[in-house]
Amino acid sequence: MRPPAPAAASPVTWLLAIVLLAGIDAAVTRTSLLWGKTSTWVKSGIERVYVWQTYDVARKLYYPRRRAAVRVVLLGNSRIWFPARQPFVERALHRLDPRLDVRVDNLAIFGAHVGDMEIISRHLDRVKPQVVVVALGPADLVPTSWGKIVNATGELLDVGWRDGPIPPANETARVNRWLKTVWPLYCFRRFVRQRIEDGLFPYPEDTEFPDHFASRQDYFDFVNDKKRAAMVGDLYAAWRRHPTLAGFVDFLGGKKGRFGFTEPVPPPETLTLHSPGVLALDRLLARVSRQAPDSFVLLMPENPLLDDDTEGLYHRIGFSDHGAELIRRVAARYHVRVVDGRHWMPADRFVDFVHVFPDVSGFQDLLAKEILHALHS
Amino acid sequence: MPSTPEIPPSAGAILLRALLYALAIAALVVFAPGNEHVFIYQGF
Repeated sequence: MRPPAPAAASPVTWLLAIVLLAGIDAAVTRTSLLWGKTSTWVKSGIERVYVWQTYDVARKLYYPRRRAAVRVVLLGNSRIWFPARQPFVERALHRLDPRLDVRVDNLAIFGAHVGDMEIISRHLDRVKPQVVVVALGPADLVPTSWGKIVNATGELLDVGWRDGPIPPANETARVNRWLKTVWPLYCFRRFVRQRIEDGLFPYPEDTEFPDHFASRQDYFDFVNDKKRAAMVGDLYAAWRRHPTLAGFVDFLGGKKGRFGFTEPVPPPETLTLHSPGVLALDRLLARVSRQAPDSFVLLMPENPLLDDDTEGLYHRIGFSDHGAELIRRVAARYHVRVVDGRHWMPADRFVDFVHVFPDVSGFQDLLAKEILHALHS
Repeated sequence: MPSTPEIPPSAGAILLRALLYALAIAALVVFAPGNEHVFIYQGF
């Protein structure tokens, strides 16, 4: 009598394997097995920072969240990541309109440029927001030594059948994007790997970003170790006593750092309506205005001390105004409102030249007003 | 001489083998090289 045919070669085996794979995929990518980490404020290594920040964004898009009648999405980078944490903005919105049933999804990632924002906007149908706030600085339109138009953060979430405004580097990248589009486990594999790695070798210092800061020192204490926090607090207090540009530079370290105090942007005239970053902005605003017509662009605050930098020691003079004008022209094509927040904040609300303090700066109150204006327009 | 009819593999064998394949593919997807980046942002 012949032995049984091997299961390995049976088409039934392969069909069943595909079914089981789909089950494994769903069990991983739709449950807390993947999305259960909430302590995504990490201090150990830039690689882990970008993976967990991008994960945090993906989790807001792909893991069930609190239902709300009104959903607001924020796109941007560290400049809005810090001062527009969900609890800050939701509290500010409730102060202005206590009856508003609103959820804010901050989808910002450190170092994101406009290409990353365009990629993240491809996932917006998961949230179906009424308002998208595109929080931009003109520097986000150009590649610099701080970041490309599309960075590792954006690449992790790159999906879609059609090429984006920044074409893929090669055919492999294109096929890679297609695979991510159809196969969640493939799309989120970097996060799965990091979850397993962190499970095996835990980082107990990973934590959640606080939902309240009572003072500037509170913030310094959170982001620094104890000794450094006290030193930074003293330097900041010294600047408050002599609130000059030079004093602020002293507070930031006393000299231009290796990468400068502001993003090292190119001469203004090199940025045109045909630059890749502006083309990415065009695609971003086209999509956002289609999905959520009341969306707006927010030009992020800049430290007014830079107005005293008349010699251009610490920033590229003229770039901000030139970039803002191009942003306005692109936004006008899609009837998207541009809120110029560059002069929203006095210097004492800034951590550096481009980041305002979370919570204590009051940035969230001004943002909430603009969001309500958009909702009621 | 008439040939002996082939005996199909048992359901248990198929299930076990299919599970093995599915897990192997999932592991390959998760742990295969890729998505490593040089993060150039140094500004913050």
